[in-house]
Amino acid sequence: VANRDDIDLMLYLDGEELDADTRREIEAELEASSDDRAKIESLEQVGETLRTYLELQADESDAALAGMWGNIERQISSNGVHEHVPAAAAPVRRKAQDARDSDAGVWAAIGRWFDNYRGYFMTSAVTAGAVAAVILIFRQPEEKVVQRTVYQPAPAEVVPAALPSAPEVEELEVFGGSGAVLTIPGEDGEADTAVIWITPDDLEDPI
Amino acid sequence: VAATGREQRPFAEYLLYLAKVNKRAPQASISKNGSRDATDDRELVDRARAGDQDAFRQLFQRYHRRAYSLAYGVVHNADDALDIVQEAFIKAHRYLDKFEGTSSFYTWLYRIVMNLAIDHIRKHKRARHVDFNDAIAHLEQDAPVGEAALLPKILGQNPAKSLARKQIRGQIGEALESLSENHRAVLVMRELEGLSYEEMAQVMNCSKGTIMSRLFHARKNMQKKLLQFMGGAKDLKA
Repeated sequence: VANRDDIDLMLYLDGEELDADTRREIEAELEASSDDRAKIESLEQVGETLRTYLELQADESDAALAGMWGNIERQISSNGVHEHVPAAAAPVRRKAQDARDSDAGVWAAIGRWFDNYRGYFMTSAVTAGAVAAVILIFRQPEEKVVQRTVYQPAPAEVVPAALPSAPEVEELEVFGGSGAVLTIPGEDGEADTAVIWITPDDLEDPI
Repeated sequence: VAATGREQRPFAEYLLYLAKVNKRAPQASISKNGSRDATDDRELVDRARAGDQDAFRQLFQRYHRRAYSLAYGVVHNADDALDIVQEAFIKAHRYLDKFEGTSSFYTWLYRIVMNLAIDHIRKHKRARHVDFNDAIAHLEQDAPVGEAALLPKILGQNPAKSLARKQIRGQIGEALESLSENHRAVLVMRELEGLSYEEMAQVMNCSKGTIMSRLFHARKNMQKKLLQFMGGAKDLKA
């Protein structure tokens, strides 16, 4: 109940709407209770402290506030088409701008031109970066070609082995062609091998 | 009265004091310049609309400090507050034709400042470092208000005088910083601009009950911190 009363005290202090009965109750309580009066006065002190504190903070920013009008004037004169200059940075930038304006020559002109289009450059750079990032992220993974040296054993060289003795060759007469019988002696006690070689006449070179 | 040597305040006098507070707070800044200034403002606005830059400069001279205090109170950062004020005046100039004159120029301007400050808070909320204590403050910002009471204590020293000391000022800054942005916004709107709960609810796009809850928690937390930094004394014996 006491806390609910605190809310009513606050409403009473702030001049907010309270029904007549509640207002009478609060006034009666204020008459009787020093605690309630202390609460009301404490709330008022909070307000006073805050107002004084903010006033002193404004004093500290007086110089920046005084310089603000020049910046506002420039911006409203350019009818809203302007680079946003943060209020806190305005005096510093203005000084730099004035110094640049007083420069003469090609470089100064280029510098001023760049200043006018600085926003476009920045936007272009950021856009290009973003596009590059998107491409890098979404590109298909490439097929990787791995070059690898495979060492294979060199092909075995086939060296014809010399027969222990020359094969015997006998001519053979056959119908419709010519033939020969080759007898190849066996090795290491194996039997001899006879090869009958027949060449039909029609396979011979035509004349 | 014992602790601070304050004189006991007769009840009738106390009611007069409250009546004065009630009258003053809701109108603290917005209309304190009176109707003559409002008329002047109107004239300056008309001239500025017609292209008179000097008229707009006069409006700037008249209100830039208040606009800064408001922005600073909410965002609690000097550079951000300066940016907000600058942007607010540029916006005000751009949309001067839409100013209908149903409210004062400053009322219109502070709404622009507040909207920019609240936008700033929303944009930077995600990036902001939230420590444990602050997280608790955020959690309780919309909690029911009956959980904790105000302390029946007042400061043992004059707040305005104490703030002349840099150390105390730093501590007040820390206390303000420890509040959630929503708490700060409501506290500043109320204490600096004297907005009603209804007006604050419109600015912050929430219910009147939420405003009441935020304001109560903000004040209670600030009270606790101030008592801790500046010393307190139970006072005002009946």
